[in-house]
Amino acid sequence: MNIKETLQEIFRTVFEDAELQINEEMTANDVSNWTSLTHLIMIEKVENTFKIKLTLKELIKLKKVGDLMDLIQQKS
Amino acid sequence: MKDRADIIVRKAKSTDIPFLISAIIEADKSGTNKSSYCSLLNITESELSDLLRKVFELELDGFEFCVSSFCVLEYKNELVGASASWIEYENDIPSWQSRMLSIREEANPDSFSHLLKMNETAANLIPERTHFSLQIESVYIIPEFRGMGLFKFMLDFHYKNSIIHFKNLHSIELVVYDNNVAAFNAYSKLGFNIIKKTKLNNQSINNIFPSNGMFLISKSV
Repeated sequence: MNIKETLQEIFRTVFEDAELQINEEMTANDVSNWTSLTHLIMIEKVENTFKIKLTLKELIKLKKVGDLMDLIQQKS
Repeated sequence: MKDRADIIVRKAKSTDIPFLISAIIEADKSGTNKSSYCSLLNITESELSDLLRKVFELELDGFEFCVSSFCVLEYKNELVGASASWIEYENDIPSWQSRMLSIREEANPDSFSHLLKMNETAANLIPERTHFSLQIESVYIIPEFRGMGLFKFMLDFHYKNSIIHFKNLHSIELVVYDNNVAAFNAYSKLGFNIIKKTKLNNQSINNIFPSNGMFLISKSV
């Protein structure tokens, strides 16, 4: 699986939506279960799955799914 | 008798951090002895002060744990009040993202795990803030300076500073516990109206927060 497919699996699990299709422009406003709590759970799953450590400075700037995909790409 | 003319409002500086931390803690308690931050993180007030100091030292912006968000009231070189403001979603980032990530960065892992568990229970209590609305948070004035119109003094300061860089501001919002009648009445007199109400009938909420209900109140500008 590539980054997008893997991330989509994480999103489907964390945000409890088996049909969720992610895209680069997607934000927390577009996903009903994307809350402060699920955001943190999602970040933890991303770090564990991709075996990367994301810093506060990197995480705090994330605006959309595309930013997260770019960050994973850089750190993997 | 305190003379109102001796009180100034100014942007906060890093040397004000100890007072800002006290303001956050007192505002959170909302006149009760319950600190929701302490309950959610399972820490003492002294540990909360240390945590907030570390978060302030991250020098972030866009939420309430940042020096850049605060203004303070000063009377004869003593700090007598403070409040924070920011434009919600101004940089396309919700304030909860910065708030939670900064706590994740600085809290000890056990406290943070506790917060995650408790947050599930508490998530529906705090009303969602409106994007591009000026948020006012952590309003605190020491008791002997209350009733002098100093909240409005700070509010006007926040508003004037916000419209300098954000011309399309449409409203000002505050979150207030539904049992804090004195604060709610004071805000009502300044033109704030309730736009969202939350109420949780979960007994454990009463052990965490000063009330199990909150109002999101707003004023058009």
